Amino acid sequence: MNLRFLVSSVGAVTPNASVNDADVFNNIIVGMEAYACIEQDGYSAQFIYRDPMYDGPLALNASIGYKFAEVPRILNDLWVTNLRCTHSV
Amino acid sequence: MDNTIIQQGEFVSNQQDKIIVLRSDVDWMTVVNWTQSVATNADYGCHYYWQRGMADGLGLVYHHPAADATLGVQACAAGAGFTLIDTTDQAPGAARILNGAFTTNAVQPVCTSANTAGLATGSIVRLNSTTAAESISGWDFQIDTVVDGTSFRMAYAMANAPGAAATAGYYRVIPYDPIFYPRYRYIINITAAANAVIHTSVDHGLTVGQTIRVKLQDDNFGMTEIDGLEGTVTAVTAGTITTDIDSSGFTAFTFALPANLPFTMPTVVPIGMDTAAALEGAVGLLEDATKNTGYIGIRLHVGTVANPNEGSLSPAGHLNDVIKWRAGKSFSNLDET
Repeated sequence: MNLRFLVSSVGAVTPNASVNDADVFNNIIVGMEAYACIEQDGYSAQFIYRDPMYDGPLALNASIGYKFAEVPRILNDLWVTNLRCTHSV
Repeated sequence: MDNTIIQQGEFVSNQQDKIIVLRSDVDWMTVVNWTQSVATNADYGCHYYWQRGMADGLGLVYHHPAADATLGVQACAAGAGFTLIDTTDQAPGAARILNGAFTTNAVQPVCTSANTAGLATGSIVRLNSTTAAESISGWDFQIDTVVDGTSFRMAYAMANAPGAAATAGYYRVIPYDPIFYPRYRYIINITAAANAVIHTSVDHGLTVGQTIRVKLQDDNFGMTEIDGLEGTVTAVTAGTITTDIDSSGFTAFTFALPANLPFTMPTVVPIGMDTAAALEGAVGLLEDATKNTGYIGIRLHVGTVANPNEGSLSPAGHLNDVIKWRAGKSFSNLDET
């Protein structure tokens, strides 16, 4: 067993879903190679930031954006488990 | 001008609520009922106005107060105007107390509550803290048989009654489905047959040819033999899925009782598409593809069932009225001082 936990502030929460109306937290346990990400060659995801000097002739605005050309797919959904937890009150 | 996008369109009223999807979002909307504008029917609306900041269900209506061409103006009746919709907002509604008989001990429990505002056949609710009938808490259930201010009923039958009537509890309205299609659903019954029929607590939206996997690890629900099995959908109704899984020799499915808590709810999870079955069933091969179904839009109400002139003073219009609309996205200042 080599289970690693990643902590996130944007994890999946199902609100008011327990018997006692508490939130239920979804912990997705993913086996190795349970999913794959197919990327177009040399493209994948790009996060693009241009500071004001490069975004317009008067350097008034910055811009930020992203683009991606990739497809994540589940390869074996038996290797993906959602461990749901909540609290008792 | 910056910040402004204007869209327009038209439709013919079928005297039902009309949802207009507005991808660019919306800050104001005018609706013209062409049919009633050129007619002279007393107490029929012809122009409607809404802008951001108005309460849900409200709006202004310009109407013919008499059977001539004069115009009057008044607010739309509550729930008979416009409501802004954002289906990506899936936060459950506020808790509403159950009272009276709370929930009945039946395969389709009837839930009693003095507050049934906004509920209609097809609405989805989530029960909580249903004392003595805890096993029905936490599920999403579709409802029917709404008696205004009194009660509503679970639309689909569970395998068995939940063991007891509740003596307390409340419910929340689940405003919208999860935005990604196809969706997983909770299972409330499975028949033991050569072609297992899975009953879901909410309309599943799956089509013939899609493949599903059943997750049923908890023996409180009986048929654990079906856990992990994959099947192809061979027929559907709104709340049932007929599959090619042979469950005839399996333990009977039972709906968990309060004494069985805690338990894991059984689910049916869409996992792909059987190409041959889809072709045979004349279903799109990409119907299994995960897609975001969220939208921003506005609901044009048709009025209330209690109103005998349903649609006559509300923007969705009376039967066969020709409706033209214009909606815009503007810079919106809701707190000018």
